[in-house]
Amino acid sequence: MWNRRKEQKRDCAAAQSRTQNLLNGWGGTDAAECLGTADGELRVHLEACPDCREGMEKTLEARSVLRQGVAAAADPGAAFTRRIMLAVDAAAEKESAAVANTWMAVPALASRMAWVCAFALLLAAAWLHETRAYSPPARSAANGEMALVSDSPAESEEVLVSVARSEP
Amino acid sequence: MEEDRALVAQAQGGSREAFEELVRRHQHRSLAVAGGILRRREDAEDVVQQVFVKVFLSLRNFDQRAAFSTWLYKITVNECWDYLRKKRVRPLTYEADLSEDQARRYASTRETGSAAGLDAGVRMVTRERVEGLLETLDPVDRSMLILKEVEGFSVGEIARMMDLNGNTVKVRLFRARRRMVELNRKRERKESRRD
Repeated sequence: MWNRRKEQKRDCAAAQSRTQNLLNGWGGTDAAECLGTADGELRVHLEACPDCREGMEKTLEARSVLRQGVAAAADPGAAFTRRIMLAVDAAAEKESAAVANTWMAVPALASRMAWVCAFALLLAAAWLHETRAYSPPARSAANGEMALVSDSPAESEEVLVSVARSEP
Repeated sequence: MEEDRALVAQAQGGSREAFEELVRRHQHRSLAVAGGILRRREDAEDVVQQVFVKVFLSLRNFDQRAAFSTWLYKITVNECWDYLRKKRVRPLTYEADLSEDQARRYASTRETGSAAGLDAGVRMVTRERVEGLLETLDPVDRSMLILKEVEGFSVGEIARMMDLNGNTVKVRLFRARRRMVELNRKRERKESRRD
C-alpha cells in the first residue's frame, strides 16, 4: 500500500513535469486539444489522475485569463522605426560632436596653458633672482679671515692628522 | 539569423541602412519584451528607443558570439529594470478593492449600454482584474508569464534574456500560473458572494 502510494506520487511528479514541458511548447488554451497533443503514456496518466489533470487545466486557465486581459504588443510600424532612427542619428551626431569638441578644446587650452607657463616662469625667475642675491661668506669676527675651522671636532681631528702626516 | 549577422556586420562597417533594417526587424519583439516588464506602452517605447541608441553606440564592440536578438533582448530587459529602479514606476495602479468600483461601472454600462459599450465594459473589467492578479506576482515572474503566454517567447529565449537557467524559468512559470489561477478563483468566489 505504502509502496503503491509512493510509486503513484513519483508518477505524478514525472507527469506534471512532462505536462509543463508540453504546455510550454504548445500555445493553445483548450484542455481537450491539449490532451490530444500529449503522447500516449502522459495522456493515459492525465485521464486517470484528477490532480494532474487539474494542474494542466490550471495552467491553461492562467493562459486564457492572461490572454483575455493582456493584449500582445502591436507592431509599432514604420513611424516607430523613424523615431528610433532620429534618436540614433541625434546620438551619433552628439558623439561625433563630443569627439570634435575635445580637439577643438585643445587650442583654447593651449593658449591658457601658455599664459600659465609664462606666469610660472616669471615667478620662478623672480624667486631665483632673490635667492641668488649676493651673500658674503662667513668670516671670523676677530681677524676678518675666512673661517676655515670646522665646528665639528671629528673634522678638525682629521685635518690635524693629515697635516701631521704631510710634515716630515 | 544569418541575415542578422550580415546586417550587423554591415552596420558595424558604418551602414545606417543596415542598422535601420535591424531596427525594423526587431522593434516589435523588443517592444513586446519591454511591454511585458513595464506594462505601459509609452514607457516601453521610450525604453526601446533608448535600447536601440545604446545598441547603435556599442555595436562596434559586439563580437557576434551570441545572436543579435539575444543580445538586444538582454539589453532591453536590463534597461527595463534600470528604468523601473530609477523612476520607481509602478506598472499600473490597481487595488483589489477597485473591483467593486469596476463592478459598479460595469453595471452602469449594462444599464445604459449598447452592445459595443457592454463589450468595452467587460473588456475593461477583465483587463483590470488580470492586471490586478499580475500585480500580486513577483515582477520577474510576471514578466516571464507575459513573455511566455502573451508574447509567445519560448522558455529558452526567456532564460537567455533574463540570464536564468531554463529549468528555473519552467519552475517559476509553473508557480506563477498556479498562483494566478488560485488568486483568480479566490476573487471570483469573493465577487459571487458579494453579488
